[in-house]
Amino acid sequence: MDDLVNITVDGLKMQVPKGTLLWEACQAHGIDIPIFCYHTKLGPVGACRTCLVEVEGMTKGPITACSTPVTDGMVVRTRSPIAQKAQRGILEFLLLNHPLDCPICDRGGECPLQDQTFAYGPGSSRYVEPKRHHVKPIVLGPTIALDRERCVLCWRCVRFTAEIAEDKSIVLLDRGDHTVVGTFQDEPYVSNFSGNVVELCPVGALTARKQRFNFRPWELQNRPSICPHCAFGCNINISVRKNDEVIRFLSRDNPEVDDSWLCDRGRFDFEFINSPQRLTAPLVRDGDAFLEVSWTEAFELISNRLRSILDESGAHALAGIAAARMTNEGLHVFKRFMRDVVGTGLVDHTPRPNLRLTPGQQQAFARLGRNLMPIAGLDDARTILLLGADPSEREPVMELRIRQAVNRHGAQLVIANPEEITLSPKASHAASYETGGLAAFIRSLTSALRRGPQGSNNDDSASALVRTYLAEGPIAVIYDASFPGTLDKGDAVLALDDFVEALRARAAVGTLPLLDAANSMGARDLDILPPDGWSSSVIDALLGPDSQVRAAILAGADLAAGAGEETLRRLNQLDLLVVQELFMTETARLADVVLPAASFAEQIGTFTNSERRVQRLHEAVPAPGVARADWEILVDLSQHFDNALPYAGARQIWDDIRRTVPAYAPVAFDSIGPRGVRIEETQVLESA
Amino acid sequence: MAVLTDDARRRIGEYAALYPAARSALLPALHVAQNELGWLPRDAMEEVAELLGLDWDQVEEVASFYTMYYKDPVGTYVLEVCKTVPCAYLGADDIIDYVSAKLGIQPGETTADGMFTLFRVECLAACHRAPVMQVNHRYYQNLTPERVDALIEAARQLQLQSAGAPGFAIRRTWSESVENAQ
Amino acid sequence: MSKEPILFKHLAVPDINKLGVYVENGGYEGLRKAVTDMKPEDVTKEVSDSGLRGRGGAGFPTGRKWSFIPKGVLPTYLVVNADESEPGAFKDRELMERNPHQLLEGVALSAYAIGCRLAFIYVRGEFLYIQEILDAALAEAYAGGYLGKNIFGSGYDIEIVVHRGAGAYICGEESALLDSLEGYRGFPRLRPPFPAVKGLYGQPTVINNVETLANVPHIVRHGSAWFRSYGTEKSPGTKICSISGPVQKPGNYELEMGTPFRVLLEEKAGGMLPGKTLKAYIPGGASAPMLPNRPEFIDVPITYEDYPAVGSTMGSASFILIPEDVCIIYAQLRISEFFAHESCGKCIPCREGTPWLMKTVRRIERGEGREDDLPLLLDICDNILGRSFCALGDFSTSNIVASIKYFYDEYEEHIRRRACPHISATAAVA
Ligand SMILES: Cc1cc2nc3c(=O)[nH]c(=O)nc-3n(C[C@H](O)[C@H](O)[C@H](O)COP(=O)(O)O)c2cc1C
Ligand code: SF4
Ligand code: FES
Repeated sequence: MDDLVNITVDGLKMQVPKGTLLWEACQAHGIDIPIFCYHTKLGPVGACRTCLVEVEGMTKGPITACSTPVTDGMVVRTRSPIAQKAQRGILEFLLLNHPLDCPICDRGGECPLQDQTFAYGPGSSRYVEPKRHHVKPIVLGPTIALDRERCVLCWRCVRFTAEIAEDKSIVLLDRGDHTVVGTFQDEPYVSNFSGNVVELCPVGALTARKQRFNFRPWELQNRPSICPHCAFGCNINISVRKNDEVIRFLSRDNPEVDDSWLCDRGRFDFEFINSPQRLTAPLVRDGDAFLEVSWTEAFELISNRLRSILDESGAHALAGIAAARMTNEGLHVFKRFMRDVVGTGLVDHTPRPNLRLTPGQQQAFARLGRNLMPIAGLDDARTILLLGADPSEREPVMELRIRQAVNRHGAQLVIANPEEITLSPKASHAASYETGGLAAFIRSLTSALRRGPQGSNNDDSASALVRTYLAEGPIAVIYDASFPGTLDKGDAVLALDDFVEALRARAAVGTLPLLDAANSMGARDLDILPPDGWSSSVIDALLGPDSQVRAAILAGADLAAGAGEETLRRLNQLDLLVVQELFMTETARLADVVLPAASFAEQIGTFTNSERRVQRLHEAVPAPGVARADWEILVDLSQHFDNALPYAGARQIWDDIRRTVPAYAPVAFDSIGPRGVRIEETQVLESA
Repeated sequence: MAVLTDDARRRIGEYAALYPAARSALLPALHVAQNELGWLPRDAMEEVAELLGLDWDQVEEVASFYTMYYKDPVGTYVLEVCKTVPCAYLGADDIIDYVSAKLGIQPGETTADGMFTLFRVECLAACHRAPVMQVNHRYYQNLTPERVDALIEAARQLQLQSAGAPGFAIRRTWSESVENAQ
Repeated sequence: MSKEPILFKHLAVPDINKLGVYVENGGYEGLRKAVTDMKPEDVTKEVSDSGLRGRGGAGFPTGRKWSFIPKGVLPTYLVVNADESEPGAFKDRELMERNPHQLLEGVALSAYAIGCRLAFIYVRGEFLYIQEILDAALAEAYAGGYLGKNIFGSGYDIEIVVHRGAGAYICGEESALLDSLEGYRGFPRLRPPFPAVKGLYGQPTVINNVETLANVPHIVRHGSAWFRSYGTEKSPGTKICSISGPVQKPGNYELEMGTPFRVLLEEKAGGMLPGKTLKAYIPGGASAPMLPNRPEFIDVPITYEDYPAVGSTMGSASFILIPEDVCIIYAQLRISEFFAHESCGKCIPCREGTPWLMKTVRRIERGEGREDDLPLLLDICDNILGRSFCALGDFSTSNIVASIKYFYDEYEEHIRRRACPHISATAAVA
């Protein structure tokens, strides 16, 4: 911070770090300068010239605030007659060929061009020539439509596909005033990140085909939340209409996590929230059908049956499985209910890695789960090593962060995988091993490491890799905590743990696991696992041939989906199957009692992402019918038992989590701001 | 589908080797491809992309920027008459009208027999020899209607003589002989 | 010219384009002297002392440009700007066509000065035959050991690649040229970083015009003092002047800087064609403001400093003459069409402004002008000038402003009479 410079903008004196772009400095001090081509995440190109401002001493006319770094003593006027004339001139040029269809434009109401036009009055009356015409709109690909008449050629979309997603599919074609954005020979624009170009487009030229003309931006309110689709934990805003309908997900920039990007799966898969198929009331089986009942009726039925089963067969007759997409609060109450209210230790979560670890392997796995590196730390890595991990499949936005680390920060990417993955062309080095051979591959690296400088002079490929890429830190090791394609996963755990240790002896190392679901990390931290941890699986116990289990509570765990006959038979055999769900899933269909649950968008709570960052969910829309948050359901159910749970809200539950999970202890609920709180920053996790 | 001859592919490879980065060979490579095919069809752009290790999008993005690459089929002989000052008022407009009337095509069009395409183009750096045109990117200067007649006649003759030969050979033979004749 | 020409001195020598003939006439002597006798800094110093200024248009001191190359950042590149697309300019073409080795020697010398071992000559796409001439000359020079590895046993290697564009005036703008040379659309680049710091392939790069570099062998051979004996204090040396339009002998003439335009017009070019009178002329290619036929504008000395003093610029010294019988609006239309056609489309003011100027001028020319079209044109120019990303936008305004300034009546008459008062614009054909 010693490198501050003094500048004056519109009479306001400010101190800003040397080299800051003038636009950013102004923005930080509440001075608004119009922009089109500039975007904080894409960097300056200075192409549109809308951000022209007057700078004292300028020789060649006004300068572009977006591409000019501040220098000490700079005196800037953003609203002076010279600046205004320049800005208005550009606006007039922009509007020459721009259709005046704001009333029917998807961007109407949130368009900087429209705002500026209102502010300055329509400037195009001096243009008497015919406007440029294009077919409108054209289909750019499965997800995106393009209206070329509205396009202002800021080429943000082009730069996004070329520089961020690197699928390069949107390009500029032709030149001069014939320039258009398009694709090679009108091939479809296909990308896992296509939705971002809609958000980047400052006007209504690029639209999501799903959403075109469905809404007017001014009807919407944006409510902060976290994407529920994977463990990366991208921050989103949920756009809500009339307080009860989810219209779209927008990115909500968290530079620590998503850096403002979303993948298409996360962005476009939201309609389930509004679905008319959602469960709206508790249901009780009546022969082949279900009857709607009140919560009290449902709870009484469950508690009576459960009590008699427990009385007859003991606590091990009940198993509970919770979905790892539940909030920390939901999971914590679930665990409390099972262990403290009904007294069973048979809890587990799903989806989870199918691990059967020996005690030694469990310790290794726990070590690996500690001291995770921050996602943003990828930018500092010298080498990023993907060990049997494919972020594009599992946590897609991590792919973009890795590309950025390589492109902007010079990281080297090393990929070890039996097959090509999306990131392979980006790798400085790609190593292959036979499917199933992950552990052996890792061990070959470890022995090369241990051979030390001389040993690694060997000319085998592992030594070469170690010599070239692992000699110096920081090294980011990304692994898939499910160890896909690996037969002996326990062995792979040991090998990986040993490798990381050997690596640590040489260089700074950070690890990041790829996990299964939005709150997989929470489920681990809150210990939603069998009493012997990762050495068994309650799902196996429940579904196994000599299962003792007679009753099950499945919270969002759709075990029947796509399962074989044996599983269905086992679930059918249960004396009591209680299912908490959003939909009438295949599992719910087999249930005795179905309880309608609130989705992530309908409750207050937290998720913990794969770098162990706790992030807040808010109630964006009300849950349908009488559906409730998972924790609310279980708290209410507990009232029908002796050890009723005392919680009245998510805050209280969180405080209880802090009491029982030491790592979470320092984090007060209200300290979880818009960017979340990374647990590792506050305390090294010892208890995992 | 491969549309370039082995010779063209080899020459593109040679160009790529000249530069520190293969992408620099994109403009030369497109010249080579167009020389063979007369214009740049999709297949040619794809093949150039493949040869230089680029994405096809990048090729069209670049090709569409430059006016000398033809994005649509053109005639065997492309007549490009300069229309900028001073050519404009030193006879270029008349030459364009003359060619247009003689061949029965407007600027931008190709004759029905696929022999000639006429374009009006910007300054060709030959203002002192106005009016001027390029035919298949060779200069023909100090144009008069008589000269244009001779050029077109020579082109037709050569086209007849070498019927069946690949386009590039025709172009070259013709350019050389007419140039020598001037 | 009273003194011996510099660049055109050998034009009369038959076959000067052949290596042997070039060498017999003292060719590659400068290069030999430099690589065997001089340190790179010495070459730069000589060129700095000579006061040589860039012949591409802007007139930036060449030695100074070279001195911006940071020490020790390798590789460095030299790129020759042979894009020559400015309407009215055809001098580099002749320099390369007639005496290719003079340029190649200049390139090698300049490359030596900045520590470059791989240089590029970017010729405009239409210069197919120039590429062939240069490639042939290069092959000869490599074979003769004048270029290539270890020239003159000095240990210095220099390779030159001739790269041909594909039709885009903007690629004459040096940073767009670099993008084009790297295989991209020819978009000008954001500065800083300047090419001297991060240019071709992100490396330190010098970009110089053909004529600029063609001077270098002579400066190295004969010294900066000799060079300064030509021209004026601020514009030393000679200048190849292209003159075109209805004159007796259009063509390129090498004049000592400071020679009045009148000498070029009346002596060199032999005056106007019979029956033609001069109405106006553009001194520096289509981007330079035109000047009407008045004695004070005809007697301007051809230098970097004298043209700005009369409200124009010498640019590349490409003189386009407009005769009395050509409608100025028609001439302006063709100029405006040129810039609209050549705008790269990167920035809004140029992309949208140049077609607007063109369409408005076209309306006036067709007799559909409106009363407020002239203030409109000037205001559009005002909104482009100094606002566009690169100078092309600025260039598109200079003749609009100048033609309205000097030929206001002609514009007004078009608008008033709702027609072009000239019988026919093309009646001017010689
Ligand atoms: C739109 C535009 C077109 C230009 N065209 C040319 C050109 O064709 N040839 C040239 O030498 N310089 C041209 N220039 C100038 C170059 O940008 C650059 O100043 C020059 O190559 C520097 O060389 P010099 O210092 O030797 O003059 C052009 C500049 C602009 C803005
Ligand atoms: S002024 Fe703008 S649009 Fe025009 S050529 Fe320069 S960058 Fe391109
Ligand atoms: S926002 Fe500054 S030039 Fe576009």
